[in-house]
Amino acid sequence: MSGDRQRRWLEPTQACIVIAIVTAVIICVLSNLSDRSRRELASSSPIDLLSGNPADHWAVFGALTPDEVRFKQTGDGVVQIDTLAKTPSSSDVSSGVSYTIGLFSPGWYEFSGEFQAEVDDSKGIGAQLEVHSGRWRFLVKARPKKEGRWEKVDVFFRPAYSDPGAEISCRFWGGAADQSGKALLRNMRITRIAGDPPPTADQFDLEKTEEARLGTPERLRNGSIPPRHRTRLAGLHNLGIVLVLSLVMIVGVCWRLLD
Amino acid sequence: MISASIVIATALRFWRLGSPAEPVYDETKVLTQAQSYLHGWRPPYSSHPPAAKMLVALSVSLFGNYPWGWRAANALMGTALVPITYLLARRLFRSRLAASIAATLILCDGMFLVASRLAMINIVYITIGAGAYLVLWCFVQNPVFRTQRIQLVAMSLLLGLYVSTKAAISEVAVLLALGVVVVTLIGATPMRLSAMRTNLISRRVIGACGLIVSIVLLVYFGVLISYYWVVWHGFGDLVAYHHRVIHQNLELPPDFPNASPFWSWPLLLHPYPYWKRDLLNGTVQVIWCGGNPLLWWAVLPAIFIASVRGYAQKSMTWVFLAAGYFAYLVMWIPIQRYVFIYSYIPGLYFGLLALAGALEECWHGGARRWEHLALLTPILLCLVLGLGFVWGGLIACSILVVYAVLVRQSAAYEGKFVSSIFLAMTLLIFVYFLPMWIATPLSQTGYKARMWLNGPGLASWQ
Repeated sequence: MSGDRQRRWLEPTQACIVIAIVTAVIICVLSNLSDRSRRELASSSPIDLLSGNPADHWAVFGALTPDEVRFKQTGDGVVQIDTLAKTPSSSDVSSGVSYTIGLFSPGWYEFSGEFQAEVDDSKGIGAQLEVHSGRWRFLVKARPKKEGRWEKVDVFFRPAYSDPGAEISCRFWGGAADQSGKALLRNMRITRIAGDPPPTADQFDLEKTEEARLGTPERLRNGSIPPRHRTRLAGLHNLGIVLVLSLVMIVGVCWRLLD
Repeated sequence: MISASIVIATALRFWRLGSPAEPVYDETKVLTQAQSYLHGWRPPYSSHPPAAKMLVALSVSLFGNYPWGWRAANALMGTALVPITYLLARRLFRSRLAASIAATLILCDGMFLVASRLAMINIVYITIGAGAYLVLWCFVQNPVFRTQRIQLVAMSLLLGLYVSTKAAISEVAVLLALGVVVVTLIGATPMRLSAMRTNLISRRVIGACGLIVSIVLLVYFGVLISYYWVVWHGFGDLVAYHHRVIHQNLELPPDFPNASPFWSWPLLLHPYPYWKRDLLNGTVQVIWCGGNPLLWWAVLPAIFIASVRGYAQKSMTWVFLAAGYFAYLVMWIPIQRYVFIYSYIPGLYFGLLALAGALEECWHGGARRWEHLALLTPILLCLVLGLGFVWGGLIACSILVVYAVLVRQSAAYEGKFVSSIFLAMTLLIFVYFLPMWIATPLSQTGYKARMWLNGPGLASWQ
């Protein structure tokens, strides 16, 4: 009897399926552990956006292609971005380079960095540094006639639950015949801070903004159920219960019909 | 084979699941809705019912609010789809080989892989739908009428979840299931009871249809109410919600970036990247919303074969597959708003099942010569597009020569040759396109080489 039972348990097909499921679970666990280690590495220390080979992390967007942009380490931690567009850019084309990062430990982050760029307002040539996360965007424009002067950017933000990350971009625009541009970046990093940011600093609480946008049931903006329809159909409140009870009854009747 | 498919599916779906470490495409919307549910906030408007978003919310609450956690539940659903497809194909064709081929085809298509690796809703409804079809075929092949009732209830629960996940597309599945159930009940009623037969058939058909529709509606209401409990004010809200969904969809324009007409989907004319990053080191990372071109193009002859076989053999399996495929395409004809290629997935699923059946027939010598040639044609097309006219043409000619030699000398092997070469090519093309589905860095040249269609108009792989 017990031998029969044992034989049943050891059927090759079943054994294979059990082994496959166990292997699948192991794969899931390993995938999670490997992802966790990468994530912890990113959240435990400040993230230097210019360390290593920046070209491995920075991407182009808009009209620029990767071979039109050069990243050059010029010493003292300064990275120079040279753009040489094959087709001249114009001011309505939004192009630049960006670095996207996930910030998955809840709390406040500080982005700090310095940049300068060749700009000339009279010719419509400009550049700006942007920090964006979810629906929020913080930007600092490079100022003209300040050659050699670094623009400091220091901003605190708390990412939203539904979009825990940030994108740092350096955006360029130019006149109709403008083909080249230059920007310098240094000391660019994102740091997770303990507690709240200083009250006088630039700060954006995207977590709270999202909660305010969605979290108050009485606020009707962009809601799922428009209030005007609700008012018109207010008399139908109890119809739902009647409908559900009717459906349950139909299920019972149909069950008997199939007897 | 089912064991191997589980392991391979898990590995493909969970490998570097957390990458990209940011919301991709519609993940932002789904995550906002999932977070609303988790925090008890007002759910933002969505034209699709909330079951898949609740699943993502469950995933986030179990595994954490980071990309791996967002996507884990869908990856599990995508993994489950492979063994479910194996079991369904085994039921449909009563063949382990057809089942193994069907599981392989699902594993080798990028659209299913991409959908399984993102926190969006497509893989959820496809897997639930496949589960419902599996139970449906258990019902069809069950000779004991009393236990069929339980299968009807199980199928209805799954169909209810399907309807609670995706609007419009899911109703096709319910109609399809109702059709199969009615045909089965009429066919299964004993002829000798001729006097009472009509009465019995009517009773069973009404009972089965009533049971299915009622349970589907109950599940749908249950899911909807549990999601919208924060703002729920009774039945009026249910009407208002559906009123809004219909009106918003009617008001949407016919054109939108990356949208494509439904008739272009089977031809794989306009896939597009869900996410793309042109890194300054010269590499491209992309998540491509497109499938394995060989499989997509082979689905067309496979469905033609299914239609012919369904008509000639009066086979319910082939008719079911052809009808399911066409139903999921025809439903788009009256819809005027913009639509995207990923809406082809439910039809593609039927197409891949039909393809598995056709390849199995080839292997066992049950396919005719025109069927062999119909299945070889997409291989030749892929060779020419992938390798160019010279090399692709040479290899295509070689395949045709070998086939011709087999036809003349050893007819028993011609079908086996077609099946083998098709599956080998499917695997090769899958491996070739895999980096574009899982965001592995590719050189710019490698990326451009994979863009087989570069037209200025609709026929563009971008």
